[in-house]
Amino acid sequence: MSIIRKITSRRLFWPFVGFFAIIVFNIFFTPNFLEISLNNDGMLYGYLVDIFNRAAPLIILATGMTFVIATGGIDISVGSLCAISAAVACYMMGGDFNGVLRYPFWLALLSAILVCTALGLFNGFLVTKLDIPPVVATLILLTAGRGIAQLITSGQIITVYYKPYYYIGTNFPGIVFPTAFLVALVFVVIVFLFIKNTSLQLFIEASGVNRKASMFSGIKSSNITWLIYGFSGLCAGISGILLSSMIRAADANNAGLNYELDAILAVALGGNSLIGGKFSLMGSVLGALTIQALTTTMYAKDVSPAVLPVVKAIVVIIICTFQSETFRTILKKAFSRDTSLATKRMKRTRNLAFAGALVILIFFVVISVNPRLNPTFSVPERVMLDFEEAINVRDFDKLKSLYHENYVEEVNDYVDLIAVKDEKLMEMLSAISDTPAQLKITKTRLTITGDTARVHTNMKLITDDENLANKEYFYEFKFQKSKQAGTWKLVLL
Amino acid sequence: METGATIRGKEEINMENKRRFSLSSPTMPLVITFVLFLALYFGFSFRYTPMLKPQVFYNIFIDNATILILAVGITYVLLIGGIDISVGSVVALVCMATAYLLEFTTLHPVVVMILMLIMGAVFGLVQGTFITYFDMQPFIVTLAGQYFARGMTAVINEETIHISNKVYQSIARFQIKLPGGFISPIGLLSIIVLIISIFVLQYTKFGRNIYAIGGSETSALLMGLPVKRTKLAVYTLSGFLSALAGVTFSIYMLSGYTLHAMGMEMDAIASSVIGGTSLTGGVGYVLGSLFGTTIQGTIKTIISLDGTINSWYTRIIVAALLCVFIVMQSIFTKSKERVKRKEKSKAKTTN
Repeated sequence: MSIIRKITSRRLFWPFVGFFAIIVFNIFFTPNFLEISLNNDGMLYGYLVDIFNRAAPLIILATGMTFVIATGGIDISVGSLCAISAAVACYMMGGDFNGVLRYPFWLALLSAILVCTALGLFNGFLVTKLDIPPVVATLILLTAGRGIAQLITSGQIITVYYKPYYYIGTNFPGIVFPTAFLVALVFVVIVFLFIKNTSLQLFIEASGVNRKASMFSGIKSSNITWLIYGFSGLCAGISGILLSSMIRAADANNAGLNYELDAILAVALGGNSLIGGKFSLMGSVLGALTIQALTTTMYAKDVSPAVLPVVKAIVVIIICTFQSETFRTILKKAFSRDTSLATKRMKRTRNLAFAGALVILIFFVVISVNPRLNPTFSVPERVMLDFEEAINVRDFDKLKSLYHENYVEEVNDYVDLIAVKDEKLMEMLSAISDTPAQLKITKTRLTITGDTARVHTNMKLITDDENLANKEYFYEFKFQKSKQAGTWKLVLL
Repeated sequence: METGATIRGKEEINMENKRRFSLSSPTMPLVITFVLFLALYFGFSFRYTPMLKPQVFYNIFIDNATILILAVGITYVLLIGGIDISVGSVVALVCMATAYLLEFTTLHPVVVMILMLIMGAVFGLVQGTFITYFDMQPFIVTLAGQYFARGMTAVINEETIHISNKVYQSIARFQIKLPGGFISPIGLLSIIVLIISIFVLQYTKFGRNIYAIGGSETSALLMGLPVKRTKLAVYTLSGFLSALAGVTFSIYMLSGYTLHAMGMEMDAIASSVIGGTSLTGGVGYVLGSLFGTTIQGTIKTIISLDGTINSWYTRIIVAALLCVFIVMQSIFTKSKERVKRKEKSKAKTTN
């Protein structure tokens, strides 16, 4: 009994159980889960390798986030910093088709990391020297970060064709392990040895628990916190490079998107308190692995990736609820054998909660079992028409005068703006339907977002053939505003 | 001796001056923001002459109605010292759910709107429960809420759904005539929400409770104010207002899409902060969020009128403004503390 208690009371026990549970689930329910083979590039390949490889950027990010959270702060700018790092690295290398670099390879990587470290130090300056709450201070770079990344890449996705850069995302020739995994391993080991052999962990925890007390005991907490934010920036820089080399490009909009929550989630899953104080680096690493294992499981089970954020959100909430002191005392009271008045009331609340949950459960069961209560929605089938030659755009200047951010309008009034040639329409029609029919435009919409304008036209086919009449036909085309001249140009989708 | 006396005198005069001008008073950022807005708008209207047309001015309210409503909701949350970053995703969720219900079911549009508002309020209520009754950090809870709402949007449908409902379309096309142009119903609604909020925050018990809790939660508790209930109400209100903003956005965009309102929570928070609301709670006016929003709207208008500037500059300029205002706030509070400390030490020495 005491041995079990000893094991379960270990800090890393629950994080490990979480990770292990997902792995065990996969061993039983995912075919070939444990299989590892070599792919064409001589790299290890398989679900397990995939988990460790793809978790690498997150592990590095979570390392930085662990320290930041331990000092009682939070850094929500890391996702945006990843995007900046990717943008800087890819801009410095340049998108030359023959793999000719604009600047040396090492300089590109180094400057990406340095830029992110500098931005992290900027966060730290705001937090420590100006006493701005961490959420707010890092909010600035979260808002601006992707904008800055867009400016660096001038709004384009820079694809890099330089071979050694690929190796970071995959593996160096002759080494069977993925580079990202090795980088994460080396990084974590260095950081781990560093905090083991210095009193840094003590200093960080002290400033997280009580900043004033640690200051009085001679720890320069504000300087340590400042450095920690810089370190978090550095982690984001490395992780941004890993992420971008996996897709071999800098995508300012999507690189490291929502990574800040993943990093915080990894720290929380690792059994670390989100309020600060004591921390465990290995816990965070396990947390990051758990998240990636969950993601890989979902892909393996063909669950839509769209559901993933919902699952993550629920996991975060459950973990945080169990970490909350108040919730624990409520639980203790609700399930204790104490018969005092306060606990009696608590028990009544507990019973009510159970009853409520039961009612909701029955409600859902009834709805899902009874087909008549289950509302069926009729979604018309959509058919895309190929109108490549049928489009005749007459008046671009009018479009330009309409240009406005996030502008949406029905363009039925601007018939002269976009007209579809009648003959082409008839040709299309005869291709679709044998019986006499008529295509009727039900809706034309012009959507302008940023530098692109999109025209979307919906049509109905008026015919006796019910199969064809029930479908919704549409065509879509796009204008792009060129950067220098500010004129519109037609781009076919 | 003499020189020392004069120096001390000068210091005292300086301090009195500071108090008279009261740079650190909560109205000051509001005034600065208002002046900044006027300067920005009329300064640039010499270069971009269409800005002198009344309609362009009205368009700022039409185009930013959603952000204004969100900013009002955020202001409540910031005033109690919390934060709510789920609002943008709730807007997207409401847009998607509205589009889905209108296009694929036969529910009446009014019923859909009411359902959406209830959904938003319940969403806020659940978040508020976690934050107030389980003492969880508002940032973490609302971040999870943001993920949840955005995920649910994609679960409903990953493609764009256009709203072809006649009621929604007629609301979107409706124009309320004003001298020199028109304003849309959603623009008007956002201003009504603002006016009601000004009233609630300045002249009701609830509003005063909010300021008290934001100033110091412990003292509010010791004064016997209903701290937990008020906090819960504020988060519920924020959820409700973000659903309302979602309804206006669905009317404005006439479609539902997973990536709608991406980062809009940041725009709303920025509007509120630029408008002088302190992120540490207790300080600020809801009117400020109006000027914060119009400043952002003006920047967008300038960028779209110019046509050659990258639209990403909007975010960067807003972030820079945000940075300036946050730093200003922190310097103000620091100088305030310093003045207080000086007064205290002076009181000690005189005693």
